[in-house]
Amino acid sequence: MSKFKLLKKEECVPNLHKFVVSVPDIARKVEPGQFVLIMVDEKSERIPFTLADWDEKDGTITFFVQEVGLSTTKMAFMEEKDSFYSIVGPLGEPAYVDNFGTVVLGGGCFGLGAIYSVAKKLKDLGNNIITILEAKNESRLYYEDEFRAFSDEVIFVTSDGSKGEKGHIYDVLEEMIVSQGRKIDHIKVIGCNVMMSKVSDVTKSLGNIPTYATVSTIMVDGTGMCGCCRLTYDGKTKFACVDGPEFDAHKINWDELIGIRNTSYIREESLSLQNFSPQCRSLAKILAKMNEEESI
Amino acid sequence: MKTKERMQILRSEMPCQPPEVRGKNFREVPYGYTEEMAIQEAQRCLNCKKPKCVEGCPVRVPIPEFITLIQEGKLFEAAKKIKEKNVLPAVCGRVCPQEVQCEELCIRGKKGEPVAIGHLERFVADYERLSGYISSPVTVKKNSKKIAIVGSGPSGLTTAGDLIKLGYEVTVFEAFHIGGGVLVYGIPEFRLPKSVVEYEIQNLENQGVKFVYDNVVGRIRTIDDLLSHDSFDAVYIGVGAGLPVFMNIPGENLKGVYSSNEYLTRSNLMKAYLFPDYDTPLVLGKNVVVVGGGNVAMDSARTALRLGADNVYIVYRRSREQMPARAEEIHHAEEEGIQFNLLSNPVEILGDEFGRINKVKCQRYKLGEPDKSGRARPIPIEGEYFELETDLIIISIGNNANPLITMTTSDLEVNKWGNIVTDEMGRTSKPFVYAGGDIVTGAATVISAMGAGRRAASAIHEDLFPEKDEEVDFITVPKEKLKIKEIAISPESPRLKIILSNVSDKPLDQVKVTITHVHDFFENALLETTISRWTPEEEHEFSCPRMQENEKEYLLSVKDINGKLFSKIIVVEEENK
Repeated sequence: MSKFKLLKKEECVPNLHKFVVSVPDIARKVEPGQFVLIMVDEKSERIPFTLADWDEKDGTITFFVQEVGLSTTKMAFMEEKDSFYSIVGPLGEPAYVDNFGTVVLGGGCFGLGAIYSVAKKLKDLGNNIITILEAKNESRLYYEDEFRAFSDEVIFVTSDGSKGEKGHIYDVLEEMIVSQGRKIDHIKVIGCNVMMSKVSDVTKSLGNIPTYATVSTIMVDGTGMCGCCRLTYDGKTKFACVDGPEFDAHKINWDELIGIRNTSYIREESLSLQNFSPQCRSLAKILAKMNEEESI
Repeated sequence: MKTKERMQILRSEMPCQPPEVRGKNFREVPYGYTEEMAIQEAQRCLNCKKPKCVEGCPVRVPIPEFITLIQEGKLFEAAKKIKEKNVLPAVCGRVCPQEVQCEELCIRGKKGEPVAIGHLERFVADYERLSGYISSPVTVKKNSKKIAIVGSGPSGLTTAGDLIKLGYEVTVFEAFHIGGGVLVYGIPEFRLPKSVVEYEIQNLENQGVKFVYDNVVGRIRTIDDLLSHDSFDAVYIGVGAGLPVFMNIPGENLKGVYSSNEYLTRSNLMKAYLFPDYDTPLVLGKNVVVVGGGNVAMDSARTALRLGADNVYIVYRRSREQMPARAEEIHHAEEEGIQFNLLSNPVEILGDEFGRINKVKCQRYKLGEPDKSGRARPIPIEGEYFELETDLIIISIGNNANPLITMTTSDLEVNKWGNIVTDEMGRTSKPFVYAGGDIVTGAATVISAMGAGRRAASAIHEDLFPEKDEEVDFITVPKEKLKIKEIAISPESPRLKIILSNVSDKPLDQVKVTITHVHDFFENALLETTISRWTPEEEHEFSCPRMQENEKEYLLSVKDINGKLFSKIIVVEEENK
């Protein structure tokens, strides 16, 4: 039996997929906030994914993949029963959880799914959970029902206003805190670094509300060995893979992380993506169906 | 051959790819000796009565013995001889710093060049590997104890190789997707071909060692999990140092600044040197600055050169004499055109508006009094700075201890640098947990890690089987027919005695029993006897003289009338304490 078998794959919204993979050892040990490093095939990079969910009994882990570069595109082409070449984890420190009181969880893009396990855990610990889900427009929102099950309140926010509020997570937060005067004890955000840095700016200016962000960095080994994922935190160098990935957002040097470290390979990334010549997935499905019909 | 004749032979120089050619490819630099060269070089060895060279070897390879076998043209036997003490001869022949170990003590080096022990070790190991030799499973009786080894680098592989021969069930846990540790992620292809490492791991797998990849111990399972949940009887930690040291100077997080760990891991393990055929990218610098003077710095510099750099500079605080790299690596780097900026050290890295580096500012140094390590202390010269244009900086100034294991194992004692504290045999503060290699000593060499692995293997064996401690240990694989009743060896007795009993329900006819040295290639029998009819439950006693001092392993083989082997027993006499 091959390791790391893909049991279930579902395209939640266009180009964003939910993966359920069999890795019993990881499912047994993982804590909310931890991640795995994945190699699709033996020539792949090692790419980190925060786990959204897991099932110890079935030995499965669940994560969300947004197609952006070569590896995630390769993953989009995988089919159920295919296997990954390598999955390592659980890595990183678990998210900081406690009974904080009222907690706001903000998720954007792939972070919508990624923040799910933290939501469940915080609910178990007796927190009052407000979930803010952000996307470009209505058609890119997913996992709504799952979040409703563990949230006392779910707020949607879209860039074009097609669903819920119009704007971004930080706009909603500002509105809640300034206009509505609501008391928030703890904020956690997962999503793109730009969104998280802006949330951090807002909550810092509104009286330093404790805000934790799960950073996205480039990684190689995930064990602290290479230092590729380093960031400046409170004036010191930290490694996202072993010291994080969750950090106090107010102490992160966001400009360095967003503007410098994470754009190190823009040229190479687009080159390798161009080098990969996939066909259109929908077209492939249609063709397969046509072939099938012809053979009948 | 007379000593005088031997003394007249000059050292065979290792043939290498010319520098201008190899600087553009990743193929191994030295071609290796031919058989003629190896035999000629071997004839330079004086086969000293008290060989100094062996004392210089952390795993005590029987150097004069294996070189004598090369002189006689017995190359397979020579390989076998090395392997008695060294699980990874093809690796050590390539990466050991022989000039400060065995070869430094070689008597021939007093007046002229020492015997090229490293080149000879490499030659016989390659000879065996390229002949297609594959080691067979170790036919030893399993002793029912399970050992977990954390890390598949040189020390872990050595421990595994030693313990599997003693009958343990050995499982190696590796964080990466392939095995070898620093041998695959750290040392580049042109210095140590990955096929050599694969072969050595394959050999261990053939012998029964299990490898579990993609497993970061400390995360997916802790040391306590291994001992309780996974019910291992002992754990060996050989995870290496694995936490890169940065310089803490401005600009260190700009684009184009790497730790050597990252740079080499991308290139070697993830094969970024083959990008875009492989997906992992690497910044290809035109003007590359490598900070540091060790082997890792040389490897990084020479990798950057092969990836198309126009200028590669080594920036090192001390002078050439203090460089910790192997002499051969410094020599090769220099031949290839790596430029050395000695007695200097970066103080600031400068970048452009896109956050990409473009310059490094360095300060000049001079040498002062020797420090604790015995090397002259580098002292910065006030006001003396220079700048180098650069688009790639690789920081190679060492590693601290990775805390992943120590922070998840509460009762494991560490020193103030985070290194695990052990006794000289590798025992940690936690019962049945052992450690060795860089996680204990800080960054050191492949061979010293292997030496630590070997000592820990013997400590594990002593601790798990204390009752046999005083005299004898044995390993057997009877094929259900014969069973050992008794083995007796004692330092006082000049003879070895083994009593076997027929435990099958049928009589055995024309059984031929021989006892030989395990390492005697010609299988000169110490005892040879035939039992015409061996009835069920009948016992027979076999006895032979004990062997000379350094032969401690006996092979008792039982064959049927057609010469078909149906039982093989290896008896190991403990080394004198």
